Amino acid sequence: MAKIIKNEYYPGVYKNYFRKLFTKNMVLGKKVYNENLVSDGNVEYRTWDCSKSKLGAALANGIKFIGFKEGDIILYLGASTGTTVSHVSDIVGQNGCIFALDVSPTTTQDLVFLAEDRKNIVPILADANNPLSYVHKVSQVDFLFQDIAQKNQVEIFLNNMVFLHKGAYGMLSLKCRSVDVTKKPSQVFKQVLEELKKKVEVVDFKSLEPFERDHYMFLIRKNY
Amino acid sequence: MKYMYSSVLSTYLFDENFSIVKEKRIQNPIELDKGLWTQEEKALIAANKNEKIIFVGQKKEKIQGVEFTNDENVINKVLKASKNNFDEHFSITIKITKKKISESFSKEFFIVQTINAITELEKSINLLSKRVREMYSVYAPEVEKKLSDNDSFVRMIITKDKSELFKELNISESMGASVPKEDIDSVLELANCIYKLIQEKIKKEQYLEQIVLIVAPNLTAICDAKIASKLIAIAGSLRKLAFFPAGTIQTLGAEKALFEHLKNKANPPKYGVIMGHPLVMNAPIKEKGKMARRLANKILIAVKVDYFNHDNNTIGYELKEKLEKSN
Repeated sequence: MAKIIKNEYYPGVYKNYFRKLFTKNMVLGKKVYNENLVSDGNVEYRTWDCSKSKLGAALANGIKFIGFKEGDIILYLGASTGTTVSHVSDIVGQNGCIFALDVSPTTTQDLVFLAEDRKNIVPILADANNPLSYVHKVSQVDFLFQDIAQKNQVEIFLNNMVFLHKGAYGMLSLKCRSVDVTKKPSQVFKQVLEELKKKVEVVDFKSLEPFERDHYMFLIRKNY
Repeated sequence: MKYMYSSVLSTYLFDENFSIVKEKRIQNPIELDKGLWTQEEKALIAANKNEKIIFVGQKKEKIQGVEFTNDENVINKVLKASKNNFDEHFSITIKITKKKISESFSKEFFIVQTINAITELEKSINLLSKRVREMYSVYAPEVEKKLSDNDSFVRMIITKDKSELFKELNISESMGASVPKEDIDSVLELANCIYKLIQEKIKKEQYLEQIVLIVAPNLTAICDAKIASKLIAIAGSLRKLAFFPAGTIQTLGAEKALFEHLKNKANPPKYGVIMGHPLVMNAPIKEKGKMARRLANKILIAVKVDYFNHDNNTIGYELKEKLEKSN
């Protein structure tokens, strides 16, 4: 097995010679979604499967920076069963916290089980369309991540910017076919880029090929 | 003018510069999560009656003198100014989430699961029947060829002997082998399992008719229980079905043809799941599309009555009569 070293661009993420990504396992010996566990001396790493995680695909394709670090508070919209949330939880560590939102009760059940192992996840059953319905459960955050496949995903993202500190970063995973299936994906991408530029500063964007088709990841910064 | 905000731990009152004036610990955060006014909030509002209060959050009822705001600036400052004891905040929020999950059960969940179970039972019965037919053909191929329906085939070979079957079906000569007892017993055991699956499928269909009648009586009056539950299953819930336009209901279940039409300029589909309805099946070929459109329009009315006005369960029959008369 190739030796695992730190990834110099993204603190908290590790890599090996074959360009696979890893994070340090917070709960030794336990798998979250049947990934590979690798031991290197006393430290255990979990393989980050980039075909199952939009954030992993963006990092593998070289997005400028990851936007959050150890100890941060994160708002994660569209957490689903917690595959990407578990890696974010590894990076953020015991001093950080993730508010993991999802609208479906059956997937939030898996999040609750994940939160029992790792003490830094707070699962919330709420609709991201309506930030005022969960304003009493969350606090101000250092990073906003969204992976929701709905027609109005950009509107949801901009509505939830209210929870970000000024000068903080956010990531939006865009699924072009959900926004409008009849238009070409490059057209939808341009439209969304214009819409985002009006309100926030777009730092970087990357296509998620070959892991996903017609998906883009935007890295933005809140300047107001 | 004062600002007010409640987190799951306590409720805060701020002045115009967003410094905390009063803070009260909340005893019942689950009540807060449901959108009701808690005792502590009502007490703070009553103590400041002569001032205008702006509240950050969502409530089901209004109180005189209290306004709600959507202003991002206000929400930002109010969140910054409220202190947070993180450990307690987390454990209370997780408790609220667990309670919410346990209360999100609805009868529609079982409708969707049951219709999917019936589809899977049908597939399993077909798949295993093919296997039994192949095995039995070595023993009595003429019997297997004459009984083309899976249900009757399985029932007959379990209950009757080879010679009885030959007499009933008027077979004189046979090219079947004389298979030893243990081998033919193994085949008949598998046929027994299929028979039990068929009985289970019939039970599930009867159970499905009962529960769809409770949830959507008018919809089951127009189409039968199977089509009604398939429509609910594809839409996800009765609420989503009630907010669809009629054109979507007409083509629910024909998504592949629909997207080919939207993206690649193919011909649009005329009907989806509602193709199985007798009115559409028995219509002449040139009228099938029109019948599907009329049926989808009436189905939408019935679904809306079911979702919004549950007391009315006669409109389904009236709509069906209208459709059959105009035919």
